[in-house]
Amino acid sequence: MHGSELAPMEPSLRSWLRERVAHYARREPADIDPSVSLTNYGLDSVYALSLCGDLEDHLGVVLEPTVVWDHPTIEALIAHVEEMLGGSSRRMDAG
Amino acid sequence: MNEHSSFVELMCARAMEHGDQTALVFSADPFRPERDEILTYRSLDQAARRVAALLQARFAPGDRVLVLQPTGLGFASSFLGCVYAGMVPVAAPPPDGHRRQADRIAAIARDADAVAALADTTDMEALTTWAKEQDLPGFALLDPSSEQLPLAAAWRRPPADPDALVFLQYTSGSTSDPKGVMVDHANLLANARLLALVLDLDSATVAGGWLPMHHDFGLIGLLLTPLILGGRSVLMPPMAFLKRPNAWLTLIDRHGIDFSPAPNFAFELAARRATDAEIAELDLSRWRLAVNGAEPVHASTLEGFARRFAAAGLSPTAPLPGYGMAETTLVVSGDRPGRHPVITPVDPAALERGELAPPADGATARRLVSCGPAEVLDIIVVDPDSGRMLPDGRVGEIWVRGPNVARGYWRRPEETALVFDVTTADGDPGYLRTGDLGILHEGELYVTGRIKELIIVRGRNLYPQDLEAVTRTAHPALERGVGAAFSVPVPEEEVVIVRECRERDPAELARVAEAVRDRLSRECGVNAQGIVLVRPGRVARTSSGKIQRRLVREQFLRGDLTPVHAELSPSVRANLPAVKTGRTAS
Repeated sequence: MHGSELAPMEPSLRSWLRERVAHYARREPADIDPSVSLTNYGLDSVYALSLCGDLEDHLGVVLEPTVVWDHPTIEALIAHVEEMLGGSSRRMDAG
Repeated sequence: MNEHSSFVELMCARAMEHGDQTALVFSADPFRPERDEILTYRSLDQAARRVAALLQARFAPGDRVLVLQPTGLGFASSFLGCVYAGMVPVAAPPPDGHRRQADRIAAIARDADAVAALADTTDMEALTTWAKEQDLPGFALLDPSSEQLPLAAAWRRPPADPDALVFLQYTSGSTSDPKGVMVDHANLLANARLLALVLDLDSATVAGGWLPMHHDFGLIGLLLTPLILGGRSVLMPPMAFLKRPNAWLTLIDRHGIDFSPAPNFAFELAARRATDAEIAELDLSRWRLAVNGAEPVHASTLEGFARRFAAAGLSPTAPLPGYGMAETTLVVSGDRPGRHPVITPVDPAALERGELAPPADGATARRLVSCGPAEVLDIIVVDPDSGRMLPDGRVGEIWVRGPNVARGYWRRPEETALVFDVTTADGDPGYLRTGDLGILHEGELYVTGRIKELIIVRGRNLYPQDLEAVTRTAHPALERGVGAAFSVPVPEEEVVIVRECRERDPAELARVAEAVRDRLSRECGVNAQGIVLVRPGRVARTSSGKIQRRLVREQFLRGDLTPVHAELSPSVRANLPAVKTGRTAS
């Protein structure tokens, strides 16, 4: 994990997640609302795990397989990842 | 292997003949080969003897023992250990923290009347709580990795009896009412022989993949059959595949696996997720048998997978459709290796009438995939009502007879008689009713659908009763009334829920639909894209109150339901234009 990647993490992670969800849901990223439950876009358990694997690779962290169930929107996922990585995005800016 | 009358005798002989050969490889992370763990035939035999000795000191021959370990060397040693002990192992999924899984394992423990479970250290705490909550008094929890195991010499070899049960396979029955298929030693050995015959497997075969061990495809296809044949089994965790499908392909490449089966969805997922860069790194030229089974096989998946991975050296004839079930130990039929899948375009309307006919010019065809020649077992297609054999090209129920047809359902003599030992109208006895619909045409077996209401999505068997019960709990507006769950092929199977609902406010109806989808996703891991809410009394039932799921499904497909609220996936809208999508009730 690199600080330089994390600095603008929140906005870039949001767009990255929208792109991934759009890919699995076969839609346009613009059609993915970060505050809407991912099940609305047809992401079932298989793609939830795919997304978990993608996130792990993207961030270089290990996540619980249930992460997408427990945090079922893009916003909730971002909040969870930020909390897990030890604080707000401002603190990550510093680190 | 014919000279051995039990699996235990056979495995002991293998350990004598070639004890130094690798029997089993467990790759926790296929991207990190340095973490691979290996058991030779001798070390597997020794480990099984020690677990067996532990069990023999505490339990009686024939007792049922759950094996709840995740895929790995520990699972294999425990499962074989139970068989070596002369007891009956029951592979079940390890607890995953979800209520539904906990209930299912408990229902299996009760139905099998199991005396104990073997589990991993990491699951012991959760299982101790589980055993208390589920009220399983006297049920023992054992962790073979931390127990002081007796020496292998303490093991007492059980008598070699081909008719003794070798395991119970719980893949049938709903969560609340599981059914255990009784497989005996002779069934297991016969199934291995038949699978070897269909796929040209032998002692040089390297089988491998991620299929879970509590499923017959994984347990028998990936683990037991290669051991029986004296080959090699290479296993990885199912979760590693689901997170990174490329891990499966990497495993196949790195270990030179020639037989790796999976359900249709896995081939779709792998093809869809692979990047060009990943494919450039893969050599899949030795993967001879990419057997596609355990759920409906799609022509487009077979073709798309072969096309996508041609650049990795995958043979165009590697994708092989197959058909089987726990009731036949595993195998019914499979396509011949080295042959291109046989795909027959047919007229969908004729097929619904039960006939195979070429598509009319310009009309949309349904492409039926042959699951191989009907040649290793006796396979017939009969009219399920009259029991009469049907001629070539007619849709009926698939009936099967052969040495790998299991003994029946554990402690269910009536159902066993109805399913496992049926006679045709002409007096030909001893067939298994599969509950699947199919066609025999020019010697090829095509599976076209199901009689039973089982829903198969992504290789999982789902019972409509389970989905309907969870739906009821999703929202207060659903506390009364009934629903019907079924699936529709668009072309992948998608779950649809038709549910009675008293609510009239459109905004609240949308919330109800969302709650149903959310609850099914959380509790069952099911993505129900089709949620159709109807007025109370609209879901068809028999006079005795039984839900008529097939009728509701037909009404849905014809557009005869009058929903108060309907949410449908884009693929349902695109493929099933007759389905009503709007709010048509006032």
